[in-house]
This record gives sequence, C-alpha cells and structure tokens, in this order.
Amino acid sequence: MDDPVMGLFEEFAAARARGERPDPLAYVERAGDGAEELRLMLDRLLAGAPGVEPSPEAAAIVSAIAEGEPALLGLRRHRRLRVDAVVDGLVARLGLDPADRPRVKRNYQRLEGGLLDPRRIDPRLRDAIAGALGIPGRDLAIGGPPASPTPAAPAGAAFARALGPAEAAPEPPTERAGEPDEVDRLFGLA
Amino acid sequence: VSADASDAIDGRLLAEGRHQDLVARHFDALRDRARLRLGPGDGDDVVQDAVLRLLRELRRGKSYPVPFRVVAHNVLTWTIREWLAGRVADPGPLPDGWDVPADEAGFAELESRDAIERAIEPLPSRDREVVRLRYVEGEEIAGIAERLRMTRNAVDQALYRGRRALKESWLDG
Repeated sequence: MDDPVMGLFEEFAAARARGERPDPLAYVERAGDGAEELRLMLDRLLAGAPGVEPSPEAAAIVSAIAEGEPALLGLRRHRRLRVDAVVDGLVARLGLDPADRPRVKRNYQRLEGGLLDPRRIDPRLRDAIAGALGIPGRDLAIGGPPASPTPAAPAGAAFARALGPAEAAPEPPTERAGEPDEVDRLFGLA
Repeated sequence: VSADASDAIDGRLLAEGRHQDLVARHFDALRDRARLRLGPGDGDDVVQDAVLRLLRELRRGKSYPVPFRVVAHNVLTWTIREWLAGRVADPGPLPDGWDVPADEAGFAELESRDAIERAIEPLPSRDREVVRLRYVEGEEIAGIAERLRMTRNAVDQALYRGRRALKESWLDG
C-alpha cells in the first residue's frame, strides 16, 4: 500500500464499494498529519457521487425538512418514540439522577425544537440521544427547523432561524441557582 | 447499481415528482461533504439549508442539463460558500446564474466522475478503466479482476498508479 492517507482513501472507497456507509470523519481522524489531505480527497470523491438507496434515517430527515420540522423531531417520529421514552433512555444511559428527569425532558424538548445550540451539547449527550432513538450516531441530525429568516446569530443557520426574537437572547448559564451541574453541562448550558 | 443506472433512477424520480425520495438518495453524501468541510455541528446545519433549497428548486419544476447529483452537490457548494461568507441566516433563493456553468469547467468541476477522469487522463487505458470501476462504479477488486481478466495483483498496481494520479491532480495540481 502507498502512503497512509492513500491507504485510508482506498479503505474508504472499498467500504463504499461493499455498499457500506463509512463515516468520512472517522477516517479523517485516523489520518493524523495527513488529515487535511485526506479530507480534500474524500470531499472530491464524494462530490457528485451517484445516489444510493437512502437509509430510513436519511429519508426521515429529508421528510422533516420538507415539512418544516426539526430533523431531530423527524427522527423521533420515524422511530415512533414518545418524548418520555427518549428521556427515560437518556437518564438511564447517562446515569443521571432520576430527580433530574423533568429538567432533562425540558431541555431535550428545547433541543428537539431547535431552541438550544446543538454545537454546544456534550458528545456524550449526542451518543445517548442516538442510542435512545436506536439510530447510528452518525445519522443523528440536530438542528433548527426551516423557519422564517432572522438576523444571523452566533449559532448555526438552522438554529438561528429557529429562534424567535425573545429566544434569541443569550441563554442564562443555568436555569437554577448555584453552580452548573451535569445536566447543564450535557445540554451546553454551563 | 452503476453510476449511469443510479442517474436513471434519479431521472425517473424527478419525472414522477418524488422530490423527497430523490433528495434522500443523495443526503448521506451531501451531509458527509458538509461535515468534512465545516465539521459536524455547522455541517449538519448547512446541509439542512442545502436540502431545503434543493426541495424548493425542484418544486419550481426546473430541468437540468446535468445529472441530478451534480445539481445537488452544486447547491451544497453554493450554500457552504454563502455560509463561509457569513450570509447564513436566510437560506433564501440561490443567486441568479447559480446553475449556469461560470467557466469551462462549470458543473463538471463539481462532479467526481469528471474530476476522476481528468486526473487519470495521463494513465494507460487499462489503468483508467480500473480506476473508473473502483472509484466511480464502486466495484470490488475481485470483480474488477474478473471483468477485465487481470490478476488481483495487477488491479492493485493499477489502483496504486490511479491513486497517485488522483492525489497529484487533486492536491498538488
């Protein structure tokens, strides 16, 4: 095999050839100093790649976007799960105190509705949400719904659009008095 | 499914007005490219904007002189470009002329098949065919060897030369 970057490129292409859905970011992470090189190579390979039979998650996300719904809500509906079932899964998977469940539920609903910045949430929460929804982590899509335009915000575009004027105000560091706790940290509120 | 057959499926879905099904076939590649360019957080946001734009474009009933996958990736590229330029709050209509090739490369610049073809032009025809089968059609090495009546080792060597050409063209060119 040639250099490590080309080895990873070939491995990625081989996985696609087998009909798998390799995660390019996982390959880039393995590339070390060659990460930028591999990133460009994979981008070129994927640009204009032929369409494939979509995963159920991809179909659910596109359907949600078409309906003007947040992608995360679309994924939960696709899995036919109630919010309470997802929240129970989060509390269990993250080993949280059951007493915190109401706050977890409230924050999850805000996240699902595009009212929390998905870029600030803890990676453990992303994994737990994917697990609770029963989908691969890479298929998790968290963003705001396509809504009416609002001025640019420091968060992502979809997130920014999801915010109403009042909600666009900076989030208080925590909803409770005292130091931020684990729930705050997981949802990016700390 | 070969690249041409995949394009044919896209064409049928487009003709039948099954826009969501059509876009969903390209969602993974669009999301992966957005994440590669912008990271998972912003990439996920931008791909949703690109999908929204695509669906709007399709509802307008436009037809395109290129396969839909090229259109889809072109819309993503435009959306990323706007994101990087700071115009991210409104995923409004694409600017005039977005779907008209701006230069000789035009759409083709964005299509991996053409990008691969150009990169491997200097190679012998057998090597080019091996690279095409592997990276455009996504065929397994054993399948390529059988189809072209080559040894597996010869296919590996052709792919080595192909990867070197791709790298030189895409990164060094």
